Amino acid sequence: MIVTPPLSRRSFGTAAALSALTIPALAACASSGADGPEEVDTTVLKVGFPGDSENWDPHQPPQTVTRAVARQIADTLVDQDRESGEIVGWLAEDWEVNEDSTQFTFHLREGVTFSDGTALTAESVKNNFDRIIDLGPLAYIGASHLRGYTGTEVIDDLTAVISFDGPNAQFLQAATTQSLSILADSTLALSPEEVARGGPSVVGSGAYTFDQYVPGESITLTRREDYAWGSQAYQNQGAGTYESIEISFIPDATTLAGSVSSGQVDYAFSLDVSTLASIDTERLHLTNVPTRGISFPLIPFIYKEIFTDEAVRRAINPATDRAEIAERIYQGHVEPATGLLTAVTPGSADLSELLTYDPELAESILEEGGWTPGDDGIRVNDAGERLTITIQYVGGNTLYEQLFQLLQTQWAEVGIEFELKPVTEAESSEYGLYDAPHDLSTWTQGRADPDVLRVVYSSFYENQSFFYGNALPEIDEALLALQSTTDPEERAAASESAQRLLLEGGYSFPLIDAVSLVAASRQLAGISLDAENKPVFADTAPA
Amino acid sequence: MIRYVARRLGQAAVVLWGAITLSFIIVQLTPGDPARLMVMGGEGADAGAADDSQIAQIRREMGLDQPLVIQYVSYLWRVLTLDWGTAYSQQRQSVSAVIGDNIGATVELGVTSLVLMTVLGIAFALGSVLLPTRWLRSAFQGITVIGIAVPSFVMAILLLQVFSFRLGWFPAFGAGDFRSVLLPSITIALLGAGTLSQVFARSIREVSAEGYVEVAQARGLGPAKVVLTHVLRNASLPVYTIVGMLVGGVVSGAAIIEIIFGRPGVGQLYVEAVSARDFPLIQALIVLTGGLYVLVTLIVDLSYPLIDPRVTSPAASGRASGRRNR
Amino acid sequence: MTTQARSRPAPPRGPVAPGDPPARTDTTGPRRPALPAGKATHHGAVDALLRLVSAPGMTLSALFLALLLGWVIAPGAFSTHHPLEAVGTSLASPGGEFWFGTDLNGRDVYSRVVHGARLSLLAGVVAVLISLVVGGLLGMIAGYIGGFADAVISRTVEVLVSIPGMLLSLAIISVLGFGVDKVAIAVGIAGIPGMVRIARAETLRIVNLPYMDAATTSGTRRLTGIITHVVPNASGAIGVVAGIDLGGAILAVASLSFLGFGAVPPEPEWGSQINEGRMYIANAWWWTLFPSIVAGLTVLSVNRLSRGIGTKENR
Repeated sequence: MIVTPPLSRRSFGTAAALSALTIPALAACASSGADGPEEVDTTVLKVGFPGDSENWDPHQPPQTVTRAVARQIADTLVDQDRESGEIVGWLAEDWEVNEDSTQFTFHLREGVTFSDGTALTAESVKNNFDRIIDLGPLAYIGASHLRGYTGTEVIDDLTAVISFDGPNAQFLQAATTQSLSILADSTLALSPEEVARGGPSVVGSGAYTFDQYVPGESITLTRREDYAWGSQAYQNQGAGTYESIEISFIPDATTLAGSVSSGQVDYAFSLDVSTLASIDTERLHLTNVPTRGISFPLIPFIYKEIFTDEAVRRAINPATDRAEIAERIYQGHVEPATGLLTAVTPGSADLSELLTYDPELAESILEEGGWTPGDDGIRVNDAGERLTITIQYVGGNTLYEQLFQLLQTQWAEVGIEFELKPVTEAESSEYGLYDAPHDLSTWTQGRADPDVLRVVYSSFYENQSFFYGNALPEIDEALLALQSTTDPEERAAASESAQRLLLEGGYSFPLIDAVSLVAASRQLAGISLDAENKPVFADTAPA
Repeated sequence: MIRYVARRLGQAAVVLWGAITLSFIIVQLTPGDPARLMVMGGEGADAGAADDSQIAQIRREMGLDQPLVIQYVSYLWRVLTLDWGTAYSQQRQSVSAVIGDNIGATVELGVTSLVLMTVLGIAFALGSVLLPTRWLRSAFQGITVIGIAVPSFVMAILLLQVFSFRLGWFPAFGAGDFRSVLLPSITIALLGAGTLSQVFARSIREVSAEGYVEVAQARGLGPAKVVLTHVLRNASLPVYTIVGMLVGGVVSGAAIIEIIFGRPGVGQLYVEAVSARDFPLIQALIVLTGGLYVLVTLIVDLSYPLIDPRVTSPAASGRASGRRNR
Repeated sequence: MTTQARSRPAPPRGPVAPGDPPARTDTTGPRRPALPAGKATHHGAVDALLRLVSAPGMTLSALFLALLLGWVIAPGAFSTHHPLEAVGTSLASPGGEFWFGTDLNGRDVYSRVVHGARLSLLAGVVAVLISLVVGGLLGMIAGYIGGFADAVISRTVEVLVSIPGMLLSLAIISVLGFGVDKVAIAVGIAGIPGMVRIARAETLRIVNLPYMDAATTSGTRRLTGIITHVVPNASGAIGVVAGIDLGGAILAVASLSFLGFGAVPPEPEWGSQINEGRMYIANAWWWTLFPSIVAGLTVLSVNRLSRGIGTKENR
């Protein structure tokens, strides 16, 4: 059998018996683009999503697909340039931040309307932010962005001043995220459950309107012909090219990849890395961009006995061969983590010297900590307890499970036993971050701002911060520095020192910089994504 | 005859009652507090945020705070009045609404599968009996074996790869147009057709061994003609009696096939309900599929005497009903 | 589909109406090939073996199952590599070094299939044993005692049968939770109703035999009669059905593994191996296909052998 290098034409060698059937197909897909530009059909853009979040309120929990739809139907006060990370205007043409980052004044653009015909005013901004505070835990990401919110003052129709009781430097970037989308009053008047059900009652000022939601099946978005206030980060500030966007939920990763490969959808957001090798880049655009936010880690629960031992915490990072993880599990499509933020996140720092693979170092740390090899190679302490770390996760033969098995062999080499306990989804949600029956957890959180460190690695926020209730004062203090200034360089310095403290203490085991994989037909001009890698359909056009 | 019909209806009612009771027992057997499990497991991202008042509310809604007997009686009453309550894993919509949204796609899939299964089953059976050379007959028998030995998900994956991704003949997802139902239906049909054709082929051979076939052959009819004119009608009777089982097989198949093909439907809904421990939804779906089976077998049994004139006495067709689940 | 397959071991024959030419002894129970009384157990083992070998399909099946037995007893003797260790590059294609290629973690797929036989087959065997013991016993009691016990057992079976096998297994798993052991129990319970039916029918047939009539009339129809008369006579036929059930049980376990309720890694098991590899079917087909083929061949061999033995015994 011929070895097929990744990213070459898809090989399909199931059996000789089948090979007779593998005639070149999908000719329609290949040829129709060549007929000339006048033939291009822009009525429907067919999009595949990997699942239904079952909650389509832009303000509520932050599933990627919900945010990807929110991006199309609702606008935010400001936006972020993908390349530079700079904040640019959207619903607000201009803004000012006071000296100590406690007051943000937004000057709204004139003539913006929601798709129900009502006009965007400073009152709308106030009503939206007030709602997010009211939703509280239901909108926990948005609420955490607004922490310390003391209110929005409506100066005039187009001027709103948002105030906080302390410095909130991250707020400006937060105002670019879908968690702080600006929705019409008619939507805000509904109950959270009604908004979650999606459909035409979710009204924003976006380039597309939320026409239809068929649970488990599809979402239809329709172009707003009068849209003329696209973000300054968009290439196209006017109405979208495609009349409607038809989003199908295709939960099976192989099917999603096959569907975009075979032209059954034009655009797949986003693919599972395991299917990447089946994507033919001659026929498809493929973006393989690192996500912005925290790098993909295992984070220890420091209230578990095994991780109260500093030696154990500190031994894990040198015992972990990140290059092998990237090479084997991710087939070289990702980069090993170089810090707690992915390398492309604003404010990231290259701390790879703290993350080098050094099993001897790990062994000597464990020896010093009193862990000596037992009969089967797994270390034991003086009390005779085995050095066993347990993880529970939702089973089902996922890529994570492959990753955990690799860690199992890597850690076994230095005498650490890594025990895997697959559970059902229901079982996995019976406990929270602070009463877990196992020892560590994976976590992903996207955000194109170093403030994401403060949310995840501090003791500040219940259900979001890993060390809530087990404060590490030195680290909390270092993370707070991120809030006090909007100056990028000062924030980068604060981010680096906090990360250094976290890594040196063994409080996180970052593994790889996760990627978003978006594939689209070559009939499209390209793939446009926002700063947090969500699709921008207003900018999507035929080739 | 009327007595037989009445008795058969009574039996059906008893089985249905049993299925309802079983669905009740399953919730009772679950370790832990079903209300807590449901709140925690319900909504993914905001699971774990449940407080005691929410749990208490669900306990009240489900009547879990009542004595067991009362719970059981009120459960029976709610089932009879078709009041299924709330599906906690589906944004707290009513169970009836959730099932209503999904059942159409499954019915479409099921009916198409059964039709294809019958066509394929008969074709394979005829092929394995009628074809002129032993080699060809064995080949057809071999095909029928595939459906019995290949796991449904492997079959689905292979068919998708070849006929959707490589050849582009069928869409790989959705439930919009008629073409989208074909590939998943073919998958289910191929799996069931194996059993069906084996039953049918065996029956053809048995009926062929009976005396009148020899008479027909003596009159100079060729084997194909004998089979088609004399044997088929008699041989199809046992196939008719396994219809209930085939319907059950289609529902089982739908659970996996709907997931792989990303189709909406009660099969994937059931799997989702199980992993989210959404008991009201699980209960409703158990009673629904049980009811479907009872209905199908009832129709088969009651119409059996009409189809097989030899079966006239209730006792005889009662035996037919005893066989249907193999 | 797959779980359902196991509850239909011996396809029914034509309906028996009064005057139906091939006379059958069982007039009340489900139709099975009429087995001459006790003939199965009285045949010499050598004789059976000789007959076995006479059919080429059966010989191959027997050889394959013998190989599997070797895998289960001494996997180390058959595997070429360590099943849990990375022994090659990721996703290396099949060849002289790795017969079935390697998986994402660089483990040898062949060696994992060999070592996976134990868990996969064990789960199937446990499931069938549960169906066999519980279902067989209930069926014999129903057939032997009759009356109220028969009515209760038969109606209960009707209820269980009314729920498709896969859904019944899933419902049981929602109660039991995760793991191969629980999957085996769930599949076993879902197989009980089929077994009750067979056992009941066999028992009725035996009870209606002339010498049993004599025993009954002389007042010995007690529960002990099940052990002295029914078990030895019915075990042959029930065993054949259990054999056929085993194939279905292996598939059912694999299906439930596929839905994410299966083995705990890194322990190899066929169902989860098939599932692990299926994402990679476009570029590493060997990972999912070889375990599928082995599982399929196992089911075929078990079925072929059980049916073969059943047919021989019927003669």
